[in-house]
Amino acid sequence: MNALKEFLRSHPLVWLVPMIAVPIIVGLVFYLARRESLTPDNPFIYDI
Amino acid sequence: MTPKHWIDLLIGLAITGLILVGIEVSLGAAGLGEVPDATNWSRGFDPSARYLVPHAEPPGSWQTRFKHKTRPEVTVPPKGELPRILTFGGSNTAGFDTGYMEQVLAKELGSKGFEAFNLGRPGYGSERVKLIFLQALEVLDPDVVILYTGHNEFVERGFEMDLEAASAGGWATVPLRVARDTRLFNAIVQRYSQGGESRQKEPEAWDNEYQKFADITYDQTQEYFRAYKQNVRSMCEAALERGVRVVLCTIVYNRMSVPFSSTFPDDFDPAVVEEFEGLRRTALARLPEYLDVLLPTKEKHRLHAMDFSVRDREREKPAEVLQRNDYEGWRKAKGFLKKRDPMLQNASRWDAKVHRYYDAVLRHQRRDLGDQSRDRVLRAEKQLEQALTLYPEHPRALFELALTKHLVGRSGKSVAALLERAADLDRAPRKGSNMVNEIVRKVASQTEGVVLADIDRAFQECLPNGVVGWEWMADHCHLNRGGRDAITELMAAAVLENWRDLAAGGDLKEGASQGE
Repeated sequence: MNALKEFLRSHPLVWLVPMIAVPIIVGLVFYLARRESLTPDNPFIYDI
Repeated sequence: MTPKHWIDLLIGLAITGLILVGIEVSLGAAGLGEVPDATNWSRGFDPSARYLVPHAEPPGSWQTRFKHKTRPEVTVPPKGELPRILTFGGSNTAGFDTGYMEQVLAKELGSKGFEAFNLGRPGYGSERVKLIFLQALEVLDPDVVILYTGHNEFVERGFEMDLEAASAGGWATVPLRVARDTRLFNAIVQRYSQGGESRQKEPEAWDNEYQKFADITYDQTQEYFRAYKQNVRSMCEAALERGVRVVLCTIVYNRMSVPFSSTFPDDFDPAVVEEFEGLRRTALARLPEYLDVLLPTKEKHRLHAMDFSVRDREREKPAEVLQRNDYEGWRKAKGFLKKRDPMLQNASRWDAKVHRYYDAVLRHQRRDLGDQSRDRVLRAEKQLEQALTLYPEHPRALFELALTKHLVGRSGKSVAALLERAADLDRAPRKGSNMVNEIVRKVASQTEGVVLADIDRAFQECLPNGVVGWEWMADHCHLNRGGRDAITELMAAAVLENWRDLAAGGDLKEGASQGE
């Protein structure tokens, strides 16, 4: 455990990159998906 | 950065990738976010997507990928002995009863002579109709195709703008393309689209829709119709090349529905615009108040086909439920329309707006001056005419002048001519016009082998001064049931008149280019 802690301390990019990138990517996917879900299939749909 | 940092960065990126893959695997294990095929996102615009796919039942059949929320996909079984008719177009076409067309044809022939399938899809303009049309030619082996399209050119282009803004524009293009193939993206879309409510705009939100073309000039309008002409022509040619017979239809539109967009040329003198608008404003103040209903300025105040069915929407309920027979004085039709029921059934499901509209239509029809004196309405007529001398190509003012001239008893022909001109000059019409129909007539006359079904003219011949109005239309472009059935009969008549012998089982491909 100590060795792992020491490794992470001396190699911050190894954990910093996923810590920053994962929320950004998930957030971006969420934003795009939300926008997609709000885009209509068709602006005018009549069912008569 | 030292080499050590680069290695750390790569390890960090690899861990990021593993976490994202982990999310995907977890969603897969939970059965969430299944990735649909490409047609799901294209909404009909992608030439490389397949909108007709093989279907298991019955074996050898094909099914549409229209992805319409409330309408089932159309399954076309393997072709049997009967010659096959396919219909193409937008929502009006989708409302044509091809079963009824088969019955009409069978009745005339004495036995079932044709099979007919409806490939109309609400909202589709000529660009998307063309894609499904070309794919259908490839796989469905039609003998006759019937094209009824032209109302939706601006509906389709406006929608395309929405899609560009939402998905394909700028920086989002590439991320979106990648994201669409992930379960995470699809799980979120499915979560927020549950029940489908979020995807459908209500009329109250449509004002923005009409703002898209608020500044369009008439020259730009013409460009859209050139594209329409090209699409129609290329569909006809593609069919004829394959030996498929083509019926090209003119489209029926509501002359009494106010134009959608009226603009001045870019270089028009603002002082003249001000004078023009001043004259219009004064004129409109001299018209009976009830006419406001027929001259809506906001989209939500227009009458829409969906206003005839309040079943699944929280809409304004009428204070008193009138039946259609409570409305007296609708103009009488003659000819083949005489036997048809002109108005929509089930008045109990109408929105209150329908009653307001019908009331205003009938008052206008009987030249009710309401709270105004005849002198004031005559002055309004003069002022509108004056305004139109400043700029004669203003669709809305032409329409207003037409209503005014009818009120003061001018000839029906002059009123009809103004209404036609107003429709022709509309900058962003969501309905057909004589300009659209002239394109159809021209393409039909210039493309050997295409049979013209001049449906709009047939309707005009049945109605006073050729004015197709609210009796037959539920809104600016949609026909009511009686009108749609009448059109189905006219289409069947065009098929019989030209290719009656097809039903007898002759060489189905022979004679296609001769028009017989």
